[in-house]
Amino acid sequence: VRDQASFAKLWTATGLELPPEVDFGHKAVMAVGLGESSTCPYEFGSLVPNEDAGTLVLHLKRSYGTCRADFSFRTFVILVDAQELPTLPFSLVLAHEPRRNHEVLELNWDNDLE
Amino acid sequence: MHNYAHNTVGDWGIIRASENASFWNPYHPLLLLHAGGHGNGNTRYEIHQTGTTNVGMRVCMTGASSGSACGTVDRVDEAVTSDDGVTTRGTARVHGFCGSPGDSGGPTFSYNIGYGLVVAVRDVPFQGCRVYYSGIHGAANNMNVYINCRNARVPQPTACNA
Repeated sequence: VRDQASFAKLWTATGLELPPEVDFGHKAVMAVGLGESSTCPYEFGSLVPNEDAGTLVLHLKRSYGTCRADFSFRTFVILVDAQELPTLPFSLVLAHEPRRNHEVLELNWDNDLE
Repeated sequence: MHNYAHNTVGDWGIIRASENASFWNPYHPLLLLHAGGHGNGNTRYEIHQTGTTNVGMRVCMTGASSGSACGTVDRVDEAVTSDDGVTTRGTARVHGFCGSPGDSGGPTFSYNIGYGLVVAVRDVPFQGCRVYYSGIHGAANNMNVYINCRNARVPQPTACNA
């Protein structure tokens, strides 16, 4: 999202109250919802834009080990520098580790972050 | 959620399904088998009976996240402790495919025999993946329910473990 009103709407939709003020003149906010094991949660790794490829790669990490195979919803809300985002439209590549062949997803946004 | 267990006995529960839920038909219990390396897909895979797991058996799983895959049981009566410290005893361990979060509760089966419910997955570098499941008989007894089986040659589904 790229304005405070949309951000407030997103923030409250997740069940939270009072969204923080964001300088949308220079920043944008991304919300990425996914599912994870409740006992092996993901951690934020990095967010790497690639203007040439038209992609934004979000790396998520979790530890190796034994995990409950449940599916717990999780949303990462990420503050990014607006000028670092690739030109729209771009693809969000979700790369999470441990890597397996089905664990890279590509989401195509056709016109806007919303 | 009605009665449930998330402890040493198992990891399962009874949920209420609305009467018009498209996925739920107790009079026509069928299993969804996704296409994959194990073979063709089948949206009407029947479970004719339930069985007890032994080491060396080949079993398949259908999980909500991973789809369907098959592997070999390499341990039974295994205690598996997930990262939250909860240990589930009496599970069977399968190698040969990787499970994912969301596969919990997925059925394990082979040759139209149902064996259990997926409870945990393990992924360790250089050791590969393991999937753990609890036996179907223990789950049914613990929840005080019976499992419906379906065989097209029989007009009505019958209790597998009657």
